[in-house]
Amino acid sequence: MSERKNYHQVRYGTAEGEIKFGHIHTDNEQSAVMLRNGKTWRHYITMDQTGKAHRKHGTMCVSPGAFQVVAGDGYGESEKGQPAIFMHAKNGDIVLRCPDGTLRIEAQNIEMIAKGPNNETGSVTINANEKFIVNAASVDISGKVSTKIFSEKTVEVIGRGILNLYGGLVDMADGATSVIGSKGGSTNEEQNKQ
Amino acid sequence: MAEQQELNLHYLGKGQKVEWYGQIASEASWADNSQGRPSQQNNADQRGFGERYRVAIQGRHPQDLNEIEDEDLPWAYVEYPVTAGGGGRGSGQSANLTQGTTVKGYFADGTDEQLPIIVSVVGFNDWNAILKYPPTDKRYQSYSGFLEDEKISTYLVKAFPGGLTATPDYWSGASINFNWSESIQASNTFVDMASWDSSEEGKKKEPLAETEECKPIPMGKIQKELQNTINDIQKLQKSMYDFRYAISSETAEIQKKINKKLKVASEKIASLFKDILEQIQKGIIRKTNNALKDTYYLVFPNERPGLKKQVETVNDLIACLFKNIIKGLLGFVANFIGEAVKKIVNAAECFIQNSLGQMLGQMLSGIQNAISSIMGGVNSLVGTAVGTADIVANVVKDLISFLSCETQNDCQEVNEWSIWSGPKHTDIGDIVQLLNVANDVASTISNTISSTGASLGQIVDPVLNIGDVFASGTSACFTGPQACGPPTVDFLGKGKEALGNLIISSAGSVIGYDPISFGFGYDSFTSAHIEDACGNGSGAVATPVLNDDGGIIDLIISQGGTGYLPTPNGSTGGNGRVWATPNDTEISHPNGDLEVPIPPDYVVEVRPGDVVNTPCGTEVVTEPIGNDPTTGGETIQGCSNHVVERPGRFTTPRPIYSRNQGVYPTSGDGSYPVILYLCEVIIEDAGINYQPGDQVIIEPDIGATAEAQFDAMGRVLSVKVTESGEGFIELPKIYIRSDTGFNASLLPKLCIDRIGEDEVKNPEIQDKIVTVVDCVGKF
Repeated sequence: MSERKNYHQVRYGTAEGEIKFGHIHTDNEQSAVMLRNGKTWRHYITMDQTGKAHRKHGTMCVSPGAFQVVAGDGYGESEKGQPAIFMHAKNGDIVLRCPDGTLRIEAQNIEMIAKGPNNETGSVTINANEKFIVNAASVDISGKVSTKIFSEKTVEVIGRGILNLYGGLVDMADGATSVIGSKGGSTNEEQNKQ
Repeated sequence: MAEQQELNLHYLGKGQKVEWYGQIASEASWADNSQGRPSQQNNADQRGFGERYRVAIQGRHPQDLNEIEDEDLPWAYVEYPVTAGGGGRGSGQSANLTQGTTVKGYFADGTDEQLPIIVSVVGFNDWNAILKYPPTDKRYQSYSGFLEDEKISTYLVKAFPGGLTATPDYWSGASINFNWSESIQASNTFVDMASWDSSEEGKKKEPLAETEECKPIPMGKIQKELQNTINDIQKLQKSMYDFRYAISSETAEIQKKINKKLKVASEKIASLFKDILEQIQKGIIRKTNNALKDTYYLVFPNERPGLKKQVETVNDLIACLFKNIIKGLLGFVANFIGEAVKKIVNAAECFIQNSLGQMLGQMLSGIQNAISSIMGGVNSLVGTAVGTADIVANVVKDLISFLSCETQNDCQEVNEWSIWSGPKHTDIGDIVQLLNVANDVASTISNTISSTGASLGQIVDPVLNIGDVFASGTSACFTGPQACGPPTVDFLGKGKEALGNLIISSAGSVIGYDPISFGFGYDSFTSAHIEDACGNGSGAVATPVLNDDGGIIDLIISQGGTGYLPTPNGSTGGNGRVWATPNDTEISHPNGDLEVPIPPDYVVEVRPGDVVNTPCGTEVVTEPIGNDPTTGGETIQGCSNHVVERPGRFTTPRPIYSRNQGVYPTSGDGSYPVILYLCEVIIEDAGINYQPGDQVIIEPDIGATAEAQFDAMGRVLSVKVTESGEGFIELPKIYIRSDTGFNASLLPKLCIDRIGEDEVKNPEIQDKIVTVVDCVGKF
């Protein structure tokens, strides 16, 4: 159970590449099948058999160059709406990272759907430490319960042709009311004094 | 076609079959049989007939290469196995023969011996001495299949060079086996560089992005990124002394690679620091506008447009101020990392707290001064000073207050990932402490900027002092290497405070767990992760066992792993790597720069003020540099942190080993003895088709026995330990001997008996004792 041994490793290879069955990695985990490039470092595919949950019966594809998947060239009109590439994490998360690059998603339509079973899940969160730009022919922002647009510095709402502002009841106040309040006052005014 | 005529005359099986052994001749003599690449000329520019080789046949062709040259040897075709196919309908498999290979065959033309056919190969084994190039004098020596201009495959290079070779009498050169293998088994029998390098890279932990709500100040991530950079760059620097790092770095121009790593790391860390500045910016704009609001009622209505313009200017200037700071951030962070790499082995949390706190404090001081300057226009319009004094300090206080109270329950527990080692949780770090340091620094820096204002660049840039940042980071914070020792276990989940010691066998496997504190609040999603600070061991897999209160009372060890240290071995490191082995000489310079540890037998030069630590028990006397009589002649004792007084040079010494066996360890020296027994057998896979009476086998049993029960399908329902045995020093293998059943997988759970000092001395139980190092809070 300690230092793993396998007396039945089989290797088939040339100088350029090799395939191995039963390879034991240097961290003592065993690979069922491993395919690797002999002319560079860190270019391999391994289907591992042992280790923690992510390693045991997991697959690692590592390459110094690009990892490319192209599919669906044979699809026709009748396959419209069917996945051409399907990635499904049955349990656990999906993490997409390119910390030194740009993540581009391109499609005719892009749908991002977050569905959670309780009040803690079902959110889409977008953080950007410079800009968040939304640019479209038509932009609808609809909150089933509430919608807030907030900035510490400046908020500009501009309708170059027409600007319609409507509220069931409208309550507006500016900073000048923070010391001497407006006549009657309002919750909104009070909330924004500080 | 003369050859075909010959074949017709002596068709196979008619005459006597003549077999032979031979050697494939140098590649140049047969390579043109194939075009070597897909060609539009098809086979028109091909010299021969595909897969055929020139072979030197033992007993027929002389050993002396000058007598018959390779180009004059006969052509041999290849006979393929039935599984390879013959080419028809696309069924085929190419031969996999290279120059120098020993082959066996027969003559298709029987006793005429003109048409050799290759049938099989006699592959090189691990002991075959193999020449690097085809021999120029004597034939039938084994030689490499690689051509002179070819790169050796990464998986054929040995990570630990060496090995034995057997050479025949007529052998005429050095063997390549020391550095790489061309044995038929290749990397099945040695640790190859491709595997070693993949593991080194695969175990690197990458911090994952988190939302601003979860990590408003990404201190832990900055720490991890900095540590990864330090590790990467120090590995490159180690390539001066370590073959493995040298070959995998693929370049002798290490500095270029280091610069590239620094650039990437600077961008990553600067972007994280930008997040912190944005939090500050947000607070400052809010505070400033709140302060401004209090003055609006002082302005007459006709002055409101002018006031609005002034407020806009203030907001714009604050935004510009931060843009300027962020613009200069990258360069500053690059310098900071550059210094860290030279001076630090482990970027401890206190180092990040103090240095980032200092950096932030310097910035805050500049920001406060700039705000005072920016407010000048508004102050004159409203006729009073707007209350922005100490605005930065108040923003920081608010942030501290916010971060102290705010708890985010929905944030991701896993915020660090390694493709080989898997998930980990990076602590958020003591952000409050970081902000306190920043506030203290900001308040102590004198006001160097006049309130009448200067350009924004002048306001901020002069106060960033890398020397102060570094001094602050390293003061009262240990950033050197820590002792490498046994692994510890981390629990990933919502609970808290579970602590315990892992029990490590002398062979380096995890065999048990001794809980010290059960903790509370853990649930079924909790996972256990076993790791040692220096990354020596790997492969241990354990599952926590919980009690009803959410405490962790035990671990089920499903894989013991290998390579873990049962006790410290004298090496130092941290953050997943060994920094120095006990054999290395360590040198640090008066400015705090550290040399990468130097193995024995390297000549090094030292200067006054350098601190030298050679292996314990050694003594070296420095030699003069050139003919300078003022240099050399200084004695350096091992393990003494010797401060050099005279310039000199010496050869790094080899350690002198002496074994001192002390009394048996007790809890007084941080370790304690235990005896392990089998307390439970865990069913990992129930298997099928077992029958009543099938026997549970425990290897080694040390007196332990167990019985299994099965359901109607022959699946294992339970395994009862009938005798516990005593004195397990490795995890036993447990399986069921059965004529019919298969695929059951059973795991042993060993429990511990702590024993007293008196019992330790009992010779009857000394072989049964396992020493547990009390690691809680130590490694």
